Amino acid sequence: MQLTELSAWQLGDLIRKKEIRALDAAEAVVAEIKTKNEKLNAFLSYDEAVIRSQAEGVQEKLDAGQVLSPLAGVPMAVKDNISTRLYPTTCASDMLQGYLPPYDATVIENLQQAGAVITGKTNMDEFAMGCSTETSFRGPALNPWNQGHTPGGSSGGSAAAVAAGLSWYALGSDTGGSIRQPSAYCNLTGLKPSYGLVSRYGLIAYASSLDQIGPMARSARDCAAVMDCITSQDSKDSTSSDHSTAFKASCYEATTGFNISLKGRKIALPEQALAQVDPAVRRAVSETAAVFKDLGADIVPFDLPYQDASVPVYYLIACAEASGNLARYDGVQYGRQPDNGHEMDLTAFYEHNRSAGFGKEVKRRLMLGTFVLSSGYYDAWYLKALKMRRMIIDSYNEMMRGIDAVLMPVTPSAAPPLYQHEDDPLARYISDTFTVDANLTGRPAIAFPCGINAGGLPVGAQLTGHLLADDILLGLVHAYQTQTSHHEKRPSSARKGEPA
Amino acid sequence: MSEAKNDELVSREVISRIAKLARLDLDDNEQNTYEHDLETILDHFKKINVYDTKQVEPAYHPHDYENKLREDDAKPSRPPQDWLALAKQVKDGCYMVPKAVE
Repeated sequence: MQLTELSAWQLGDLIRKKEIRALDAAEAVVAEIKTKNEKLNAFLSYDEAVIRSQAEGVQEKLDAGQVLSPLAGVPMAVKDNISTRLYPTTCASDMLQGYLPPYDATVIENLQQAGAVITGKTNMDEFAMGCSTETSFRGPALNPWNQGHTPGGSSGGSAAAVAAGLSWYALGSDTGGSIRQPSAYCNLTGLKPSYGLVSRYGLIAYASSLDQIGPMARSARDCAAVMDCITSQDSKDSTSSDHSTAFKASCYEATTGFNISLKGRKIALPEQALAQVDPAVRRAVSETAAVFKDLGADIVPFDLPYQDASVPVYYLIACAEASGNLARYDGVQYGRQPDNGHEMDLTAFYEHNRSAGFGKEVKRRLMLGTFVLSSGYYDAWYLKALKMRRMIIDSYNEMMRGIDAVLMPVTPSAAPPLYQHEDDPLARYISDTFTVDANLTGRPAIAFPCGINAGGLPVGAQLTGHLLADDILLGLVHAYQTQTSHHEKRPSSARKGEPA
Repeated sequence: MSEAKNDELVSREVISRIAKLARLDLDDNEQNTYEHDLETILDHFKKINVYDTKQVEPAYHPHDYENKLREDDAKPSRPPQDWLALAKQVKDGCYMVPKAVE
């Protein structure tokens, strides 16, 4: 039995039944990371001793009869913008090299109570600003399905780690598609939860009204098990939903007791979205709709509201919020600081630290965000975008009445070659066209595998649902995954013990 | 509300002013790059102006809910030393910064 080929809940089951020990899983994953990470660059930090000691600690609790969670003892990875005391948290930025947070994010505390074994911190675009991990200060992660291609971003290291068998699941964060797009590119299931369902305390902020932490795993069932662990109402996050407790009760059930028959469910399919994507993506998403239909769902037409405005509205708001959130990086309290800083005047000191610490894409977004918030441009750009956001939210509320979910592609194509749009930021931004609405509206959205293209790269589909009805999305995808095997396919590089 | 006219927006002077506001010290090459990039990006983004938003309330958050504030009770917090230990220059329990007042 190859442990790394099991799903997270299957591995958790074996540990709970004492058929294997948590340390066995830890040793298996350490061996894989040591063999493959140097090439894939999926992890920015990991520590064998820390992994083993966590596994031993979890095993002691299990041996003492403590009930932790279905995922107790299962090794998992964390995106490098989620604060951990065990590992540095750098957002893949020179600005935060060596920063070791003195506290854990709420999701980390929740996972540790559930018996998670944290393998390390995963590569990402700098401060989550990008769609390829190419903006990482430590260089890009590679796609395990084809190392000349991007694993996606910004949670690309998390995706590469899970797809290559270096972890059973991972946490990502999603501001405009950063969980779903890399999940699609690496053949994973990834959920951007409803805004407010998962605490953002300890997530290093990019755009606070859009950011959410969520799971990336090999199936909807694994994602449901992770959501069961990380969801909680949190007084440290003023946007945390009081729906969390009710959600936890229904979440795991969604993929263990969900009625596989989808009779009575309505899934909308926006034809205009299919017209804009590669033929392989169009075919795979159309076939996905056919599977849902066979399962009993009604497939109904849908028009994505204000689709040409989504990307502009998203980037205007995200960059504006980022310019405020990243104002804290001045080199005084933590992070980068020059040796001769105290010979400068205060403004030059700030400018020096920020200019040396931030990379090109972060500076570009800070410039755009500062511009749209500045005197003379605020109304025409930022306020206009906020008003368009209201129109998009209202339209979804109106158009999704009586519909359980909207089915569409995650991206216009499978994973592109690395550095395809290095000097064309607009082309990169436009590729987010199908993912940003979920963040603008706060709705949950889940990406899941639905095929492999002629080049051997995975293709993903996406369902967007109703606010705080994430369990319905998990159930729908679980039903799909009981009828199909796309999610079970692994890249050949994921074979145990073989170099990546 | 004035409509955005891209050709009036992203001059080199504007880029220089925005860089100052963002506390970024950009060299000539960077200023050229960002002038070009912002122009291209905003030229694409100005398509949102075709939509009439005069009667629309801005949405600062994805859904409307009340800000939840906890009771105003004193609670234990992390020791200041935990935070000060992260800084490069600290003196007498304070962060050191360059002289700001003559």
